[in-house]
Amino acid sequence: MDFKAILNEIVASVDGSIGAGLVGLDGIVIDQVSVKADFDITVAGAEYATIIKNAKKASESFGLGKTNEVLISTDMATMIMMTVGTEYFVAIALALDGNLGRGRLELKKAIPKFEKALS
Amino acid sequence: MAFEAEIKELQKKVAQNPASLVFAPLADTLRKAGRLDEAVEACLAGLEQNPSYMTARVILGRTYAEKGMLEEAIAEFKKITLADAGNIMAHSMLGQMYTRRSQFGEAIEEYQRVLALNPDDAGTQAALEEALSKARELPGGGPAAEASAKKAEPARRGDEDKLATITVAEIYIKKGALDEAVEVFREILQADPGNKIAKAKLEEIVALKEKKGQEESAAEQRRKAEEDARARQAAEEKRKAEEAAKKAAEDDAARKAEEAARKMAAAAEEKRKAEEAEKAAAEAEEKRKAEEAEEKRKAEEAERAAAEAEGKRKAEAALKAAAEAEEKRKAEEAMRRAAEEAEQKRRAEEAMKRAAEEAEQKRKAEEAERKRKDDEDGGEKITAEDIFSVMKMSSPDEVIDEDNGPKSKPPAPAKGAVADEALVSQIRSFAKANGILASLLVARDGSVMDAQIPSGVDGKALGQLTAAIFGNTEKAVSRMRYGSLNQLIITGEDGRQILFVQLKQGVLAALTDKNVNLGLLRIALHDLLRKAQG
Repeated sequence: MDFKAILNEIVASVDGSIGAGLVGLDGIVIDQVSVKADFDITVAGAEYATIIKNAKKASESFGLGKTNEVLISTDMATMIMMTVGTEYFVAIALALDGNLGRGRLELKKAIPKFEKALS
Repeated sequence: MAFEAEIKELQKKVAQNPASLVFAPLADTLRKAGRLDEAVEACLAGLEQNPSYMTARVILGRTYAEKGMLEEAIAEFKKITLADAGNIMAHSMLGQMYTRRSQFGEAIEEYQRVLALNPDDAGTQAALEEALSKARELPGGGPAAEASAKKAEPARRGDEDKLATITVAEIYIKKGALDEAVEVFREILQADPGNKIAKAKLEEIVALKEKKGQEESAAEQRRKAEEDARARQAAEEKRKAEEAAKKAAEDDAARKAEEAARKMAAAAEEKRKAEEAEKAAAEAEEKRKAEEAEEKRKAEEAERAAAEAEGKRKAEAALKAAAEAEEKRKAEEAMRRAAEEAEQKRRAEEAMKRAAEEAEQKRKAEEAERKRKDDEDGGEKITAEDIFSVMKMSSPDEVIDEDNGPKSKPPAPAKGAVADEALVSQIRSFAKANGILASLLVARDGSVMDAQIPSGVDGKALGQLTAAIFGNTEKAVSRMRYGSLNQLIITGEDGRQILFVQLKQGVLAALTDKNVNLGLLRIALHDLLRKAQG
């Protein structure tokens, strides 16, 4: 199964999905799926990576150990990022009325698939 | 040559009608042409048919005279004078014939008869004088001539009345009044029954009347026949003329129709040609207009394309300039951010290093103390303090919260960062109700406004770290154009979470237990935010 198929499955399963992407910690996007034209994780990949790095630093500083998940709420969307292995993370963007719980679940389910595909 | 055509024409007429009087002019023309024998033959032949035609006899006499046949000439002229004693021409010709034969006495008599009929005839008078003269010149001619002259004189006087009467009758005859002439001759014969001339004349006139009646009848018949013939001919000619006219009219009509048809055809052809020419001109005009329109369209297209290209070029230039400006701005921003991050990192690392050193000292001291207490108490009770020790941070101003164990004393707020007591109260309530292990309310510059953290934890360092993390995340979100950052929740590998929330007066950082319900926590956060916004 390729990355896009996994991402499509995630997006298709979560109500209110704007898009999803698999991104390296260096900010380079492996693959992405967009439901709305304004969602382009290729452009925002670097920012996602910045957020993940900040979160890792915070997690370490606050004694949480490794970072598993980062959730961000803004005026316009909610974004969930989960680490995949040690060098990647998968992100999903949801509308404000999107199903956050389903989003977290689908990402967790997809992580082994990504890890298998990346291994 | 001049007479030949006339002769042929007259001969033709004589041949067509041998009984006609045309032989006389034919004979006279032959005579004038010198063809004397043929003239004599023509006269003789004609006189057989018309013996009383005196004109022909005159012509015959003159022809004989020209041929030198004086005897035959005199005989012919005498026939004339017998038939017409008043025929001046015949008497004159007899005078001339007798003179040529030197019979002057007879010549003088004939000339005298002429002068009796026409006393003023100067030529005859001269001829008479000449005859008298020549008679005198003859031997013994003087008295004979005189005698002839004297004989002629009484005779002329004695016969004067007779001659005058005969002359009157001949005048009647010339006028065509034959009845009056017959009456005159009869009177003469009554007076002189032995008058042979009158008797012969009378017989001749009677015969002439009969013949004239016959001739008139015949002439009338001929005239009628000729009129009929002329009428037929005229009718035929008229018919032919009408036919010709009709045919001409038909031909003319046909010609006109043909001409009209030809003209119509020509006009139609011209019209067709004109229409074709007009059509061709219209087509050429349309083609020209189409070509012009096409050229215009192409020109406009080219102009539009050029304008579009120019606009595109300008837009691209503008975009490029904007992109360059944006890149420049981003680069500057990145540099500035990198510098800030480097500075914050340096500060945080410095703080963490300092905190770590302090914490290590503290930990060692606490460990020594705990060991001492453990030694004293002999128990292994796990307190909240153990949990917060994981944070590896400590504060020298440690305070003890009676409810939740030891807490660090809040660091003094930075200048301008004043803690809102109500907000602090709400945060503490929120923390207590939602399993919050520690919380920190910091201003955006990192200064701590409220801290619910374990004792020994460097609140100031955590405050700076919190502000740095939230600020960096906030900038990243802003660059992603997803609006402003409200919450940041980080979940560690053991399930615990750190919440960063944007409040009115700063940023709230809270550490949760690993079993916390995230959904309820978000609801509680929402409630806290609503209260915090007032």
